[in-house]
Amino acid sequence: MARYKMRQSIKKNVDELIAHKGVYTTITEIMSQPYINPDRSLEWVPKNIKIADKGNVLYYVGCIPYFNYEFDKIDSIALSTLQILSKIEKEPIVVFKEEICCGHDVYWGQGKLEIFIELAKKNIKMFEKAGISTIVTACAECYRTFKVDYPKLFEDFNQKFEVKHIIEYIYDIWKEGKIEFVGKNESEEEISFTYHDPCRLSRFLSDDNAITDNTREIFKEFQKLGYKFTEMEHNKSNSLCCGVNSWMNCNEKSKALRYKRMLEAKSAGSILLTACPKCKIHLSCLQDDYKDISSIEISDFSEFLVNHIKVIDSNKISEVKK
Amino acid sequence: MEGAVLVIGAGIAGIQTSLDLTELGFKVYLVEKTPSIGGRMAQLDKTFPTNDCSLCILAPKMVEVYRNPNIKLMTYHEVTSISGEPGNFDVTVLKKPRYIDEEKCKGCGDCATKCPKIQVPNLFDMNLGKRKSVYIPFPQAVPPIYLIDPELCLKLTKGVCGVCEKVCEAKAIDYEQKPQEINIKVGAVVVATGFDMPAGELSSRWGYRFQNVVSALEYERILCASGPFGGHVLRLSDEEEPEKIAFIQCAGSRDLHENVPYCSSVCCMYTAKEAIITTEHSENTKCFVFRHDIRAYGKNFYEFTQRAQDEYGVKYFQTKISIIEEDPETNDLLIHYEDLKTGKFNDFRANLVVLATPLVPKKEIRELANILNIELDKYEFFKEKSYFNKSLSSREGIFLCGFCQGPMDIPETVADASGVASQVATLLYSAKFTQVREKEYDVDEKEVNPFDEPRIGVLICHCGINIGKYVDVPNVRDYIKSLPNVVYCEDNLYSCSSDSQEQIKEKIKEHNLNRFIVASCTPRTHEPLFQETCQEAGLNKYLFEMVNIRDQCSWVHMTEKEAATEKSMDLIRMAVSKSKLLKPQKEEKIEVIPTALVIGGGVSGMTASLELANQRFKTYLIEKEKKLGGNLNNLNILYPIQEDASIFLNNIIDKVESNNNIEVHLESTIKNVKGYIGNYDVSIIDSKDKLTEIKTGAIIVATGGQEFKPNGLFQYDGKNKQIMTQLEVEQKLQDTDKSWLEKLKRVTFILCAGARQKEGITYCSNICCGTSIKNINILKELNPNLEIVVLYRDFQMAKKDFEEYYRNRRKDAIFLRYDLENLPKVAKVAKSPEKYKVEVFDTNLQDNLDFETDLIVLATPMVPADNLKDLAMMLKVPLDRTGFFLEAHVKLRPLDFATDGIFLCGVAQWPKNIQDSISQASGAAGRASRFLSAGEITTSGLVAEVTQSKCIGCGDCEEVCPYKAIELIETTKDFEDVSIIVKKSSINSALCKGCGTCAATCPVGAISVKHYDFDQIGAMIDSYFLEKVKNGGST
Repeated sequence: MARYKMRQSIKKNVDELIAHKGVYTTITEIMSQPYINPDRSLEWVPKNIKIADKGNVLYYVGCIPYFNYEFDKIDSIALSTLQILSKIEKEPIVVFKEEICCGHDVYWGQGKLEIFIELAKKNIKMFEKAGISTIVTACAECYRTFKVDYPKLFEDFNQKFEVKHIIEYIYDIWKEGKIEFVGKNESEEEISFTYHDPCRLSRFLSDDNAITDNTREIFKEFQKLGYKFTEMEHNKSNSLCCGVNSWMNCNEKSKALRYKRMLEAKSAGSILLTACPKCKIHLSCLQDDYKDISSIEISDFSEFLVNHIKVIDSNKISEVKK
Repeated sequence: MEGAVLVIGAGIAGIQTSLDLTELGFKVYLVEKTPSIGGRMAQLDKTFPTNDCSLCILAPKMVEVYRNPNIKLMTYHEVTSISGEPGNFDVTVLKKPRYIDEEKCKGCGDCATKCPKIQVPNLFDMNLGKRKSVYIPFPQAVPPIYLIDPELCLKLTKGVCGVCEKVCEAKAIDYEQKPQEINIKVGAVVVATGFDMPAGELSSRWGYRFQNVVSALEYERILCASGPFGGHVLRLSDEEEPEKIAFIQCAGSRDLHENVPYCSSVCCMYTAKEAIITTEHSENTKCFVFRHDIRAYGKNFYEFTQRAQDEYGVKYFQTKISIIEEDPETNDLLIHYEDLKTGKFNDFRANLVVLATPLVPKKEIRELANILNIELDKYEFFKEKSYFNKSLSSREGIFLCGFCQGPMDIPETVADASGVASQVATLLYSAKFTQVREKEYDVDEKEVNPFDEPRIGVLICHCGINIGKYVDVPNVRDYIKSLPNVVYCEDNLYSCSSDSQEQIKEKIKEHNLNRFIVASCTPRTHEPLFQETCQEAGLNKYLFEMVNIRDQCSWVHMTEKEAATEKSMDLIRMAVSKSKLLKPQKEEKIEVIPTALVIGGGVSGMTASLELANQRFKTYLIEKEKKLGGNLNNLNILYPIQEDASIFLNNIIDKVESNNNIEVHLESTIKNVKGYIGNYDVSIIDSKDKLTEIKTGAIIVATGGQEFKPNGLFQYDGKNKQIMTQLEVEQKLQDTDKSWLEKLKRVTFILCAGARQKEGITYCSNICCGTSIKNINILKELNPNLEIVVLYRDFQMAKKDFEEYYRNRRKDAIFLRYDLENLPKVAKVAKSPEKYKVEVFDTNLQDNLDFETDLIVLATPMVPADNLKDLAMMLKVPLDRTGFFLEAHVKLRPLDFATDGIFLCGVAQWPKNIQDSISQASGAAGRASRFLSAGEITTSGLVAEVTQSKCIGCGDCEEVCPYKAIELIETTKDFEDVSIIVKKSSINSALCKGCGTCAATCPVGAISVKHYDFDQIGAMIDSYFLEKVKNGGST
């Protein structure tokens, strides 16, 4: 809202502060046009996974594949998420070829409310048409947008669609006893890892809804697989920022902040997990500049979990129940 | 001593040498016989091996000559006499009448449009196109001044007509013009008169008399989009598209019967180029090349001929042509030839035949030689004073440049031209900068602040009727007048005329204008003129903006007057919007340290050092070995002059060592390079790890090359004593003890050993054939009973002396030809003394042969020197695919790197013989000394700049900058809890060319190019679209 007001009241051109000369936000603006139906590349979808254009569960991919040309293999987040979902769900997962942007960046970064509303309308129409009941996303920004911001405009959004971040989704299924975590760490030593809470999953959600504690509960399970979870000094809703959001330009101050965050991560573990593609991009980007933090392996939650999930045979579940 | 130079001939050689000479501080009189500069290169369609449009890369240089205040352009002039001595020549030049006043003609072309005379063949199109009797040779001609053909003009021959005089608004026609003698004084003369291609003089068996047989130069015009058929490949008899085109190579060259004993050197390459372009033009046309040897010895040349075959499906036959005849019914051609691969005689029917006819000295060369009192050689080219310096004529003070001295291709000519400039500068050293002028302004520049109200003046040009006929200029004027901030707007007939310049100056003063726009022709030729006028009126030249309504409107929309008018309004309105945001820019001067560093002490490095030192520049010469001389230390005899290599070597080392301006550092390498053009800090480290710091203004890379050691090939492993490379034989021949030779009965040479392959080393290394012939001859002379067998693929003996050198020595050996598909096989048959069996399939005899031999000599290609990557990184210059250094432009900038201030020469660039290395080395010295002579560099105001606060130090700009003008500068910054190293982009305005690649790449918009910033471009776009939306028009 601050930016929206800034845009309306001050002459300052907010667009100038958008990184990559506003390419990504321009794409978003184009998508908001009623007659534009993107024809997105689904090259990242592996051949052995069947996807659908209608069904119950939608994997809302977000902008990840668009970034692929600029940031190496960032679409492996999408791939991992889809692999997890397809492993668990019986029916093919819905992935839209004509998926459009959720609107997060134009809303937060530039305060272009009209465009945000157009996008929301278009999205809802698309979800309804495809008969979606559950929307799963691996992006913290998309999640917060659907969960909190859409209902502000369209009150019944959360009644119509159940929105889940992939962490939440896995947590619920695990609690239902449908999956278990497998795959021991191959080295003899215990591997320590830590987790960077994206703002959109922590302090940007109300305390009851914040996806912080269930994440830790999952991580605890990994102790028996040879992975030791260690908290960083700042965590959960108090966690340090990755530097920027919504494709705003970064600068040396945001770099200093990120550097500080990476030093915390370094003292906590050799693997740093996060659950927001942009956090991953921003933190990894810094590794090119500063060699002392380049050893940390930065992974998305989905990328880390994809090889550790085993679906429990439904017969077995019933046996256990008996 | 005169500080002026006469250059005769304004082809690429004359153009390049003139441009370099002015930069070295000399006034140039550039005399050209024809009405335009440009020469042969202007006639070519494309250039090999990059297939750049020839005129597109030449025209900017032609324009540069035209704009250069220190070149007196004398086209349609001829030199008639010369007297005096070096430093002081008196020259008489005859100005032939154009019947048009050069000062008044604006090149609008109204005269030619109205000229009623029937059309006659146009020489520029090799007589295939047509022109009127008042004409300009070609649209891009420089100067853009028309002339009247006195033999055709009705007014001049019969006293009737006179239409041109009536239509010429500039009053430039002058039927009374007479030839005029002009006397000039110069210190030196450069002859660059080029070549002819007289296909008509060939003997009848080549069939040139038939309509559908054309010479290669005629075919260039046929291919060219501005040629007689608009770029459609048609044959002459019926203007139909030919299905089969036969390209005949060596059509007269290397042929004693045609009196052209030498190889023309460029035909193999242009034939491949013409065949490729033909294939690109038309799917239905198939190209067939009838070749003799393939001589593709330059960078990427051999690969180019392979691509013609592999990628474009051009079919090559290895043949000898007996006769070409015409089928009178179809006008097709019947080529009778011997297929050298099968030994059979065949016929081939082609719809069109293109002859690679010999390139020969100009027909008037003898006349000119008499006037200049210089000698010709036996081929009637100008004779060079010594093999080691082909630029010196037999008369001191007169220099030779380009094809008039012997066959060479364009890059060799350009290198030659720069080398000549350097040698002239040495001769006329004391007269440097005595006759050149630099513009000085007497009116102080007025201050213009960004917040001042823009007061814009606009001048719209009719260009005679050139623009005025197709664009409704008065209407455009009234519309522009109505725009906000436009204080003054007028139209006139010729905005470029000198009275218009006075008018512009007055109006700027009268209306207190702070921006000025001219809407006329192209900024390429005219922007500097108007900028100068503005500056004379006290208006910073960057407050001037130019709109091209001639090319963009009247020319391209000739048939749609309304659209042309509307577009003119749009373009000028956009310029008005931009001009409001223009800011005055400053051009800065950067001092140049007048010293040079030469890396590599071989013949190239030594020559470059001597050239620079003789121009009085302190030169540091760095050599990694203990001794100067490089590869020359290993050579025995030099061909084709048959002189002991040590004579030349000792001589040049003496010269270098006794020259006070040269500081030699032996056993030294470069440790570190910092800085930029004019100001380099270089650390040198010697074998004792002692560091020396050098400050230098320019760097020349002359790192040479080395012979490829073909381990594993033809049993070569360095241990088998009787299998050696060419260089190893040379070294052995240097020994006084030659008793080893007496034991030999048969020696086998294998040429192209490891060269011209499909993979690995794919190129032809230029010099190995010549070296082999030399060594064969030496061996034979030392042991006349020796039997020598040579296994070859093609003989690379281009250039004027080499063909004959080869022909005279053919008797010394048995020559067997093999091809890549059937490599010779070598097997050891005896250990002591070593004996080998060689098996080869001889394509000439079409038979397998095997024989025993006592010694095998492998002619292996030259490869780059070791460890060039580190040096390239330090200098920030690129290596090419083969590992040699990559020049800025293979055709027109063979001695420069894209980064200003660093130059290259010799084998560092490509394998070449000693003569070419010397020529290039002089050239590189010439290129470098331009900056050193000037003492300072003026940076353009049109450069990129970084907004430091926005820069995130990602380095993308550094990566894309083609001129290596960007550096990331690191500083440590302290924040609350952490200190981090922050990188910021920094652009060196001395190196920046203002191309804008960085600005487009920067992800955060931190870089903008002055004079073309995002606001200014945005203002133009807005101005266009907003107006369209307002008018409800579709865009």
